[in-house]
Amino acid sequence: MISPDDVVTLSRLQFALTAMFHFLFVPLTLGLSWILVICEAAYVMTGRQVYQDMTRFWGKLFGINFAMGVATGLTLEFQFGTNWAYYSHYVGDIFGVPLAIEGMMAFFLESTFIGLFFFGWNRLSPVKHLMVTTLLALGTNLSALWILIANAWMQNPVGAEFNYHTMRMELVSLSEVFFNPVAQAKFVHTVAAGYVTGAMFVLGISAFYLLRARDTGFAIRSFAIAAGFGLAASLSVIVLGDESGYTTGEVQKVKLAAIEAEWETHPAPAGLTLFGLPNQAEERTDYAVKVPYALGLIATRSVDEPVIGIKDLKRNHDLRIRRGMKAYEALVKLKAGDRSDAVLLQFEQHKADLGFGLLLKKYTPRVVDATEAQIAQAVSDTIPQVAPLFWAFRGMVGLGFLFLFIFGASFWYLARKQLAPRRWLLRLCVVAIPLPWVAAELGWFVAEYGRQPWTISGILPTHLSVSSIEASQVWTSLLGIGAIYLGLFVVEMYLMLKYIRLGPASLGTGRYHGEATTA
Amino acid sequence: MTDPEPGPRPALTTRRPRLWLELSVIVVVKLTLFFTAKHLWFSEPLARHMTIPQPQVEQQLLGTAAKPVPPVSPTRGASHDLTR
Repeated sequence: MISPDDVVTLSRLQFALTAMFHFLFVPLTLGLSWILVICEAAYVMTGRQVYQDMTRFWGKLFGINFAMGVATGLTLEFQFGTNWAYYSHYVGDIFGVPLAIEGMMAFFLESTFIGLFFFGWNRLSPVKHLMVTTLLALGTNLSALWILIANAWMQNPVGAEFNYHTMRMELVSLSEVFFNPVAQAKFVHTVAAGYVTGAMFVLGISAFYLLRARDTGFAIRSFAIAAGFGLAASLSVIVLGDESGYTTGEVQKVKLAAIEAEWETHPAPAGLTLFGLPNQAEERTDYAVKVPYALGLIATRSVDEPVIGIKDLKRNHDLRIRRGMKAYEALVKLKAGDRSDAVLLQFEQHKADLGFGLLLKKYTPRVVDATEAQIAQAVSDTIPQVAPLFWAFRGMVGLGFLFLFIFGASFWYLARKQLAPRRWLLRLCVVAIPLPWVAAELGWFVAEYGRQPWTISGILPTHLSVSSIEASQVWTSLLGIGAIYLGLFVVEMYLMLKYIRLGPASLGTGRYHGEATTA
Repeated sequence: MTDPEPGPRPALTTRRPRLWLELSVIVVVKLTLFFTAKHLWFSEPLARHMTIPQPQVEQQLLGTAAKPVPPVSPTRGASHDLTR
């Protein structure tokens, strides 16, 4: 339940709403861009008009999505300075580079090539236009990289260290930030999820045309490309998701333990809880159905490395909070002008745990005078709510395997020329169109909610990241932005449905369903 | 599998949905809404250019007061006074 005057929760809600809305557009852009490349490559190689029509029609839906989605992330940047001022100050030195590169990618590379893509059909040769389409796809995918590098740094803050003079994190190694293992795993997993989204979109709409027996030549070719691309993408997203899980196990042990509801550290290799009811109060999972050894093998890729359970992680956090109190004490003295060797040494020895000390600010402003009960409360805060993570993760994984089945079955029956009688499969393809978005949003929920109580893991607690603003301000902007986004969503759905209903006839070539009768 | 038949080209040009015009209008309206939102609700960020004055950071992280920094007024000043 959200307290109406809780600025931290309201600011989180606003940021989540904005980010999740923005991410409705991103995965389709990522996936559809490569499907355009495949369609157009087929046109260049075969010279068959239908492939150019496919590129233009799916490109039209790509254009609607791009136009509706462009700049929807702007409000995130507005919120950084207003709602998340202390966070912004803390990360400003690190975020500047990737965000600037992303801005250049998005506004220069993408905008240039999207213009050439739509208006270059009669001005460029087929091969040159294909190059434009390929560069457009590369540009959209690369611009996702920089945002994910920035996000990955929040999950695993490498290549930076705290400077007590400036009271912010400062960049030490740009290459460490760029080659952060979390960033690499997150990028490939996210773009692969985008490819699944694009493929399911084309597959589902093509199935809709096939069910209606309209534009079948166009639809079956689109279906074939989407099935092949989607099969490869869904396999990739599962394999790369496994890689992402392994990376999480390496650097975000709390998130992994919460996702898997691992309360105890079991002997290696740990079993995987398929289903169960996480009981946070009692720190156990009721009615757990386990697969022996599976979690240990997946999460550690070894048979002798344990997966650390939540109870042991809490014991470790208790120690880190106590060390953080010493770091905090030294920092206060340093800021008061005491630069003695003893104080500097105390700070250097404990500064890695300063963030854990800051968790106590929620309970006692002076930190160093925290009681045992307050320390225990802060320790408890270091573990996010397990049940939402446990179920969101299983929802995402379950959908991933459903996509694999849909693309696999589609590819199989198409290859055997047995697709037409499989109307259940075609209907399933249509029904499944929105599911990749559900999976992607669940994935982001796991990533971001699982990072709590931190905005920057182990460094800056969420409650200290927000600005000192009033709840009424956040409510007003939250409702306002919500209304704007709701309006945009309605327009997006209207335009998409309108052009999907029209189908390739919207190209006005005179070759498709319904055109001859309206002539 | 059937290829699209190259039939007689109907005079569709005049009634074709003017998608690009629609999208251009939407983008302009959207940007207007966003920058209006910025003007109304985000025009006085505490962290301009992702930095804030150091005393405020120290107060937030090291201060002993429960609410160290005075809240920014929800009223954004003269530029938001529509009666002027």
